[in-house]
Amino acid sequence: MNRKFCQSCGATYDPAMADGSDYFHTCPPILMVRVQRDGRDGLVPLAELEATDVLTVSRAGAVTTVAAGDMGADDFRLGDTMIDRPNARDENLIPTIDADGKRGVRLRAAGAGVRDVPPEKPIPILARHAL
Amino acid sequence: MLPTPDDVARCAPYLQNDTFYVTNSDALRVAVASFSTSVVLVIRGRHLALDGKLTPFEYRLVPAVARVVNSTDFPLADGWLLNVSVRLSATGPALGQVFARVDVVRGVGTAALELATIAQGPVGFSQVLTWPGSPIRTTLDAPGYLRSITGTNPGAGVEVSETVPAGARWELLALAVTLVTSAAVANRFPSLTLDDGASVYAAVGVAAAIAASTTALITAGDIGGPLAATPLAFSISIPAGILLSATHRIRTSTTNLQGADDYSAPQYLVRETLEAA
Repeated sequence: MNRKFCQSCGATYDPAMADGSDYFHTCPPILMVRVQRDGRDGLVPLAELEATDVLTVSRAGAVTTVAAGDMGADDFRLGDTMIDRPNARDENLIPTIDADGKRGVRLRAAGAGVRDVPPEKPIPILARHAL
Repeated sequence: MLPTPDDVARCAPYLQNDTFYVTNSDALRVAVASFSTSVVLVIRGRHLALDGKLTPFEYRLVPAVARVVNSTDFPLADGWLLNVSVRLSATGPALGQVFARVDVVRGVGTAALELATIAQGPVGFSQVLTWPGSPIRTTLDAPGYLRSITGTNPGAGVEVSETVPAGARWELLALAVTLVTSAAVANRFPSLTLDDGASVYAAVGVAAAIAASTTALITAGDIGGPLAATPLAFSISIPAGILLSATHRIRTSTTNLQGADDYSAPQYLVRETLEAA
């Protein structure tokens, strides 16, 4: 079975495990960084963090501010938080009963859907152990 | 139709204390919760009709959906149900990965009345669920089975997040994941967190920083405490005995995670128990 690419979160996964069990992908939350941008204080996704965004960091035990591009190796970024991903996919199945009383199941949330990922080409073996 | 005294006298030699009188309004309902849909349940038994005719029967059931209770009704005729057995058609699944319940119901579909549960418990190929004989057991009475799971490979700048699936209960035993840090200057400090889908109730972290431009292997297990880190290997101690219900999550939480940092797909070992309510 092909690996899947989740169009909600950009992750890849195998829908079936080697023991025959199913894997139910759920999108991870989004990491939000607390910044000051253009004089405004708020949260931005980590992927949207800009070098000029001002971060609040802990430096040598003291709280200070620094531009994201000037952050030092020993600075600790403060104020990070996680939020639920919009239009997240959750492949867990929940039971349903239709108007005719027939039982069924559906995905908890389809999100933006998935597409197949072609299997990776194996790395060729150029030489083998001599017997 | 109820048996007449002549019917009872005719069938008496075959009747025992545990036989169950059924009518043609009744059905044998077999409900199964399975870790996979690639199993076949074989249901066999014997039915004694009012005319004294003893008839063995066999049905086969394939779960349509994993970890969700799937049930099918098999019609019965007037007479006595003498015995029922449920087993898997082939070896493979570990004990506890397939769970069945056998009921006698009256009526059809969702409107049927469940009159009696005559058998309930884990099912295997050589471990057979029988009535009469097997005790009524819940899914949580089974010891649980080990699963090694390859999780989701998140995109760059995204934390690892694995959710306990519906119908399951997990005990996290071990986890390994690789973090490739970008060139962005910052010391990263990964932690492993457990939450209930919203609130974190356990968090354990590495003992040393992961620098920029590093490929670090992070491993977690019940090791009693973080081991001294090497330049490329970092350990996290998982608290022993924590059980995670469905929708609970196993996540990483990385101080100073950068947008181009990349976690691999986690490989983790859990002890799973079906929790089909």
